[in-house]
Amino acid sequence: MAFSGNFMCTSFKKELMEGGHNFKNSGGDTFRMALYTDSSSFTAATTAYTSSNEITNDAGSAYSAKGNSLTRVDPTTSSTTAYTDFADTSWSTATFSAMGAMIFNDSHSGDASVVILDFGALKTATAGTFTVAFPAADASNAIIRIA
Amino acid sequence: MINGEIGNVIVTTTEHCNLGPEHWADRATEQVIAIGEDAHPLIVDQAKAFKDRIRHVFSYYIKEAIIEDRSKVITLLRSAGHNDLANSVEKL
Repeated sequence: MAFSGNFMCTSFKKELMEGGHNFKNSGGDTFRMALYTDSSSFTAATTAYTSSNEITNDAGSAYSAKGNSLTRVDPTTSSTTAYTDFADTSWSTATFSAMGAMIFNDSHSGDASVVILDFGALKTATAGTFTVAFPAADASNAIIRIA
Repeated sequence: MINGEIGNVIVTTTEHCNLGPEHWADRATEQVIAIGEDAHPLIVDQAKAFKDRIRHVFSYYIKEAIIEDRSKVITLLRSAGHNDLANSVEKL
């Protein structure tokens, strides 16, 4: 089963109401981005990070389980929309492929999943750089928005 | 009703090379300057010109930082007696 678009995990919405996630730049939780193969079968019912179908290196050791830690950007608002952002993340000297990603909260008990991201196609780096650029941090485009 | 929405990431990959200073200058510029979709055309033109100028500034100083860092590596290699390696790095 393949990726089917970006979506927010339902459990994350509930956990937000329980105060389970802190996206603040200073003192916030540790969020990570893990990369996955096309064999992944995430749905909105996904609740936590899994190593199942997580990518592995075709050569070298650029990618480690659980992926990269993300740099948080303070949540803010514009009109009636609240949003948060992360700094771009990249893997250098990378030789691997990925079809999508999961952002999860490494500080949360059970590594709670936040969002699932569909890259739209298999992305491959060969002895090069694999970089994920986050969208503009505004009310229309930011990676996580609550309107 | 409160709606949660997700933005789209952009994945860039390379084969047998790295992303150059121009890529990172573009990314930094995008982080610093956003132009509103509904802005007046004159403002948009000015903002685009300013954005282009900022992109060049970022690009210049990123390249300067690379030169500085490479110079530091070369100095460390030479002081450790690895002249061949230092010469190789110098040719990059």
